[in-house]
Amino acid sequence: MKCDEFQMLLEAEFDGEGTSEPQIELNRHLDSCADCRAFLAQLRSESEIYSAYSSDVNVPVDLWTKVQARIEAPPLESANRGLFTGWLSAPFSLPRVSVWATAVLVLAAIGVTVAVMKYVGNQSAVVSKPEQSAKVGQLANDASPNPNQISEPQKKADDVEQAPALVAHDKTPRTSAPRPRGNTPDQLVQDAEQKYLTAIAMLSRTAQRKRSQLDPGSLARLDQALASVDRTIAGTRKVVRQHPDDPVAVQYMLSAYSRKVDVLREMIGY
Amino acid sequence: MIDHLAIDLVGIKRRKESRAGVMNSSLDLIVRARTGDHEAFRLLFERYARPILSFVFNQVGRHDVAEELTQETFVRAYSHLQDLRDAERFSTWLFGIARNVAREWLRTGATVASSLDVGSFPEQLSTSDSSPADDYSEKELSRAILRALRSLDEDRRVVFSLKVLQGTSYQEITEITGFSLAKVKTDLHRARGEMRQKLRRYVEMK
Repeated sequence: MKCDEFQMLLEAEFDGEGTSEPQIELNRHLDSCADCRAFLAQLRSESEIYSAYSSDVNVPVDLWTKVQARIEAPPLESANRGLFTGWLSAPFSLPRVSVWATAVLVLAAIGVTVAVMKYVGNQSAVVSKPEQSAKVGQLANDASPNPNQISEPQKKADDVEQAPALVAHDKTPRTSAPRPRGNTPDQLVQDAEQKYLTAIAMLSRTAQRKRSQLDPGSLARLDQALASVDRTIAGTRKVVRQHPDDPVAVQYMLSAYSRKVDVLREMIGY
Repeated sequence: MIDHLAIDLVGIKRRKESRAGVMNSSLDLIVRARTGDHEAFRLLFERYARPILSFVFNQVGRHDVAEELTQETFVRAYSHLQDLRDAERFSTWLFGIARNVAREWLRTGATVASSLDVGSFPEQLSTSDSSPADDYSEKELSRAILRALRSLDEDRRVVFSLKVLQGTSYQEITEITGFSLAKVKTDLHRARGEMRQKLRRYVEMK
């Protein structure tokens, strides 16, 4: 081994990063090599002057104030600079994908939706037999079900109308006959969004009842999370309305809905 | 090691809070900061501001820019705290952000050489005619070190700053920079050699 290689080992040893294996060989070399002994002494001298240098920087007293001012600025402030100039800019600047890729993403989102709906179904005391029969009836084009038997989809649609502003502003028809599924990505997106809205409305009602049982700290944290998610949903919905063929936008919107479901579930689970 | 450097910064205030039973380990603070607790993030800032500022200063060579970039580093860290998967790696994560912020700034067209505050380097130090014995002082030595750092290429400067000036481990440097361990060792060895050439007079005086 040449001196240069020994000196790299010496540096690692000096830095406290040496391994035990070459140490014996290194010590033997040091005993016989004046140059490498001088190199080690030089490392020690350099270390002294570098440690003096390290203490040469002082944090200005107002630096935290500046950081604080920026992290406390309301998130909408950054939105005013343009919807895509903030954290959304990176994902939305990705290359656009084909319509079929959109369809794949939407199908994945629907899978998640089905899982959510199963969970919601377990939470609800209502048995879905009337719903099933109503669905069968609708699919068979059986007009005018008994008005005294309000079907579950209709109940859910009514719930959506009572949900928070985000949901109330949705213009998607809720009580119309089921559309043929899987025809176009747009329809799939609408279906997935509708299911999330329904789930959110149901969970919101249960969460509303739970609020009084939560400690103020947890309640504040969850309210903050909900407010944040609502802002994200509003932003992503706007983007999807403007760019309905953008799969990334769709994915982010559905993820935001999914996140709201998670937060509401957490609130209910307390 | 970075944690060790940062611990001193917390000082009396931290000890008072410990006595008061407040849980202020970095992990606790990160958990609290993630929920929007600005006071917890302020304590993290107090712990890490100095090593981050020092590191950024070594990259860009100007105090005013280093302060701006340190500010940007902490703002980014706060807004991406949810993305931090392993809270125990907060320090390396934060240094990674600082490194990216400094690199972005350098790539806007400002090079370390052109960005250095020339006024802070007395003319006699930039000539080889003057005697180091006459000029020597701790502050002037720091300027000489900074000038030598300026002459390194970016990768070597980052590795040298992290290892020699910040005391970061090789493993942490690989995590911060994404470099392989072999590259870290080689860059460090070469950076030391170049720095040695530039600072020989001062080392000999020592």
